[in-house]
Amino acid sequence: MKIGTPIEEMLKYLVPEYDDRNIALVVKGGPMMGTIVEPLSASIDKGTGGLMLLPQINQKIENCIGCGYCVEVCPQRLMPLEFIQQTSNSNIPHLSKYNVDDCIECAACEYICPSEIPLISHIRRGKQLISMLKKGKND
Amino acid sequence: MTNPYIKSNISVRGIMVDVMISLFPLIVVAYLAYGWTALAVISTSITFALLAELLSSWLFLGRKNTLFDGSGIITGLLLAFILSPNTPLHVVVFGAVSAVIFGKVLWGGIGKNRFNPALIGREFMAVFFPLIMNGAALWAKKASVNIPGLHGFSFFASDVMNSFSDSLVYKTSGALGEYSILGIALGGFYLLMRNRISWHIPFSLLASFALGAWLLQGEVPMKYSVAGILFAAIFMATDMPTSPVTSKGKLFYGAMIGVVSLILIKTGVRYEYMSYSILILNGFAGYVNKIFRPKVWGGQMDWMIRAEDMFLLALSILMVAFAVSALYNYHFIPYLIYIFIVYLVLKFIFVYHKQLSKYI
Repeated sequence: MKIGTPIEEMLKYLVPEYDDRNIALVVKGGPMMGTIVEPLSASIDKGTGGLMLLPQINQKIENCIGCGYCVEVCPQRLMPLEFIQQTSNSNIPHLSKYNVDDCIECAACEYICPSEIPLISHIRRGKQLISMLKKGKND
Repeated sequence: MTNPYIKSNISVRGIMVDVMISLFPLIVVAYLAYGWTALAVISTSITFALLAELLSSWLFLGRKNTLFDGSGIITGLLLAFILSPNTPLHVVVFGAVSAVIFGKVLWGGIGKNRFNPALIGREFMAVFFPLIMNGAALWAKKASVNIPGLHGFSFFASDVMNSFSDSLVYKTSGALGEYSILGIALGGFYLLMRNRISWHIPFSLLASFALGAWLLQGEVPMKYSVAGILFAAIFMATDMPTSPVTSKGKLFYGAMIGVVSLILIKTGVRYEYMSYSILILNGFAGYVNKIFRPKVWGGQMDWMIRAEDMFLLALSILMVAFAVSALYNYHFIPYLIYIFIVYLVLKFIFVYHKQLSKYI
C-alpha cells in the first residue's frame, strides 16, 4: 500500500463488506494509544503502523471506588485517580504537584478502571489547564 | 471519544461478586454452627440493607439502579458476620439500615464513603441498643449451638495438637464470621488470586499485631480473638474506598491498625477494639494517600520529608487512638456518634448533595 492512499479507498479495496453501521471506529495505530481516523478521506502517512476497525464500546461510568488499580498499572508511577477531581475543580497547583505533565497517555489506567471513568480525557484537560496557565504567565 | 478503544472486563459488579464468593464458605460454616438462627441474622441483614439502599438512594441521590452494583449485599453480609448469632432481629434491621444510610448513601453513594459501612452500622447498634449489644449474655448462649465442636484430627501424637488443628478449622466462639480460620483464609486466598485485595494490608496488620502482642505480653493475658482479627484484616481493612491506594501506604495503614488495636485492648476496650481501630484508620486513609505517593518515574524523592510526614501522621493516629480509648472508658462514645450524625447530615445537605455528578 502506497503512502498517501486515502483510507476510505483502502477500506473499500481490503474489506468489501465494510459498512459503517456495525463498525463504528476506524483507528490508526493500536487499540490503546491509536487515534480515530476522521474524516475517512484522510490518507496513510509513513508513521501509520496499522489500521483497526473496532466496535464502539458503551461506557457505563460509575463512581470511583478507590481500588487503586490505576496506581498499580501506571508505568510512570503516577496516581491517575487524583487527576479526576482536581481537573474538574481546575486545581492547577495540585495537578502540577501530582505530575500530570509526566503522563504519557498510554491509557493503561482507563483500560483497567472498573468504574470506566474517562481518565485520559481528564488528564488531557489537566495538561491543557497547566499550559494555559504557563502561557498566561509568559504574556 | 479518546483512547483506549478497548476495555478490560473488570467491573465494579465483578469485584463485588468476587467478594461474595469469598464470603460464601463462611455462610456455610455459620449455618453448620448455629443453623437457622445464623441464616436468619444473615438474610435479615442483607434484605434490609438492600431495601434501605433502594429507598434511600432513590430519596437522597435520585438514583434507582444502585441495587445492582452489589455493594448493598456486601454491606449486609459483612455486618452480619461481625454480629453475635443471638442478636435480636429488630436490632439487626436497625444496624443494616443505618449502615447503608449513614455509611454510604449520605456520603454520596458507592465509593465516596470515608468509613467502612458495616462497621458504622455496628457502632450505631452498640450506641442505640447498649443493653443488648454490650451485655455479656449476647455472647454467652451456648444452648443454640448446632454442632459444638469438631473432632476430625487424630493423626497427631498429642491431644493438644489435635484440638488445636480442630479449632483452626471450626470453633464456635465469637461473631458469626469467626468460626473457621480456614474458611477466612480460603476467602482471603481467593481474593488475593483474583487481585481484589493486595497482600500489603493483611500482612502488615497481622505482623504488627503479632509482634506487639509478643512484646506486650504480661501476667494478665490479653483478651482478643485471632479469627476476629484475621477476618478484620482480610475483609474489613482492605475495603477499597476506605483504604489507601499505594502499596507503601497500605503497609503503613495495616501496621497502624495493628498498633492501634493493641493500644485499645491494653486500655480496656472489650469486643470493639478492631472496629474502632479500623474506623480510626479509615479517617486517616486520605492523609496516608497524600504522604505515600509513589516516586514518579525519573523523579526525586525527599526521604527526610517523607520520614517527618510519616512520624507526624503516626503521632496523630496514636493521639486519636488514646482519645477514643479515653472516650470509651468514660462512656462518651454515644456523643461521638451523635456528633457524627449531625455532621454527616449537614455535610450532605450543604456539600455532598451538590457533588453527586462527580465521580470521586
